Amino acid sequence: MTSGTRRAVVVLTLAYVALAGLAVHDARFLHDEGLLTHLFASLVGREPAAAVFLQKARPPLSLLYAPIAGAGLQAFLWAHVLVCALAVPLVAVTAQRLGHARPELAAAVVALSPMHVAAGAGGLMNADAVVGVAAVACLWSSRRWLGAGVVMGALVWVRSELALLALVLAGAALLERPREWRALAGLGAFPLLYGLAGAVYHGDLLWMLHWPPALAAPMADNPFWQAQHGQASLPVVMAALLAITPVVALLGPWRASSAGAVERAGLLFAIVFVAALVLLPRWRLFNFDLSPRYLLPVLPWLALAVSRVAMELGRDEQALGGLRRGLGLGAFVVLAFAVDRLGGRASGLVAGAFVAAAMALGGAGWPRLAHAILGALLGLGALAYGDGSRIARRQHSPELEDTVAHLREHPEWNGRRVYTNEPLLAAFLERTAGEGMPSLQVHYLVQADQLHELTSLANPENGQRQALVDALRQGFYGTPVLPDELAPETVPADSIFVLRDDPRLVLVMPAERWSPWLQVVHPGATTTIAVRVATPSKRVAAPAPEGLEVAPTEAPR
Amino acid sequence: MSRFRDARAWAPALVFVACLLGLGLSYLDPAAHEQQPAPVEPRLSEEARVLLDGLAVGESLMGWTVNAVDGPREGLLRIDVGRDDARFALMVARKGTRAEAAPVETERYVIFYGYVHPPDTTLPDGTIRATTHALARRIRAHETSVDVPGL
Repeated sequence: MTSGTRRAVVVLTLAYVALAGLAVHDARFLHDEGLLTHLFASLVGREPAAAVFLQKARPPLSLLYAPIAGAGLQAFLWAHVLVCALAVPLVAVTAQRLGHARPELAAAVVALSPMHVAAGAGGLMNADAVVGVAAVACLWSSRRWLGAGVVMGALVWVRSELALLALVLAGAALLERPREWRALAGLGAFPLLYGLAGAVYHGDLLWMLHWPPALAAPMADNPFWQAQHGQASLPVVMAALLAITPVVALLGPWRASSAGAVERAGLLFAIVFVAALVLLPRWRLFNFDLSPRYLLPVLPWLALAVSRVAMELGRDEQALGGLRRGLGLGAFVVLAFAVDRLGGRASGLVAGAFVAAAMALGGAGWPRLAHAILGALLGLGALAYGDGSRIARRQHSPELEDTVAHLREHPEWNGRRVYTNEPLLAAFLERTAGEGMPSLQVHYLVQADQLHELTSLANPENGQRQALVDALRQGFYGTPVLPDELAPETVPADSIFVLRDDPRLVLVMPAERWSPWLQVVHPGATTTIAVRVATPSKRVAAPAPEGLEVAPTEAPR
Repeated sequence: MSRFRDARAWAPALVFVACLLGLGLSYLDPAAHEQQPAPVEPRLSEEARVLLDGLAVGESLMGWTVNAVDGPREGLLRIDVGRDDARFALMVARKGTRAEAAPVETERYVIFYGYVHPPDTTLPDGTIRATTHALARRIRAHETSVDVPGL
């Protein structure tokens, strides 16, 4: 790697840290899944054995972040950003080993990926998966089969959907001549060691099957899943791909013949992976919903693929032909136009215009100008294409700031309990503490499906389940309140309820039981603030009052 | 311009022009954005129509004109009513599906109101009481004889 390239990669890595760090600072991407990453790491400190041998807790990742978790959420999020930044140099090194003339192009795609920035700042495991996949690609491209296998084997316990990449790596190792058994040995290393240690802890050789990392199917009658139609639309998929990288249109003219075997295998994985994750929610398998963030681990492979195309934009012998450029880009633009007509946004057309302009200028003999245009798209895209990730706080908790503002309006609520099903409230209140905010004790209403998942995936016989429940009592989006502990009669009078619209809420707060006890103070479109009254109101259901009169001509005031 | 005689330049340049045309069309004839869903065409299931005693668009509900009747959608029936420049909606949900107190209940259903528009409108005294009870009377007449799937 030349010193210029090295400098560029350092600058890009720092750019990633700056972009994600700013977002950590203003909590733009505060996300319940990120809080969950922090929680799992914290559990390792509270109950090490119970947490490590709970497959759901993503043991490799929880162990990685356990040392910093105790320092608080903000410290954890900064550590997370720094770890996720490692993907930038890892992809650059991979590109160099695969013969890319300008490895900084691939590095730029990773550093300026709107979704990777958001997921890194939000503490999401999907961004850690990008680092893991980048490490696998780096080791694989240097033919360090054992190392690639070991990392890949552990990565499946970070994001189980990456088992598909493990299969691709295993297939590639078997197709090698001579066969690379080291990759298979590496793939088996973590599961074997972890499985054996877990067998001692659980007293069960088949514990991994008995206490799996995820439920095969959602909890029965869960209203959340009943409300999911599970069918991804083209606009959502296009927005997600543009959020992964705005230069995704460069994949159109990609040709397998100029790519190495590792890149071909990686892109094959990326295509199958995206197709599977778009289709899996249709059948509600393994609790996958349509969150775009699940697609993020394809980023290193997309970065390598678009970087390869970017090197072939000129008019030399290795350059892409005109027909391939026209057809490849044309196909993308047709999709982008369809997305616009289907009610998505025209952002695909904008990205397509940038990429087409770059290709035209490259073909006209100005490759530097072409790369500058692609750089501009990446730079603008980091700021403009993030919504497709659906990670931003304003997208999933749009009323959080208003809710906190309403709480601030009531200094008389100082010292009261707040019961909420909003997982971000405690963390968000912590950030605003002291700014005229009454001191409130946040109690999180653990939802029935969350408890169901914990009890289904943890072993009650060796004490793991109870140990985890005890550990969670030290903090789980605030002080946790389990469904069977919540009753109107046991909640202190004057307690505040911050209830966001969630179809699961009726499972822990049946309306017949709770409505008489709650007086709405601040109704909202998605979040209601209510106070638990001292005595339940009496409500007459029938008959209807007689003689109601409202003048039909009465005009609204 | 001679540089653009090469297909490697003019082919993507044509795509570039197509993008600009697409952007122009998008600007002149904007489609509703999916992330800010456009109002879906109101549609009422046959069972819901029976439950509401045949309430239809154009009818009057205590002096308020029914503008739209929709559902079940996400567990709710929604009746949009309006008069002069003011509008609001009545929502019907099955009992036990909402934690908030509803203004009116029937044996099996609860009736809420909301979506007052313009947002700063103060509805005339008694409007909510009158319209929700009028709707409740219709529902009580049929709730034991019809089951509405999805509600």
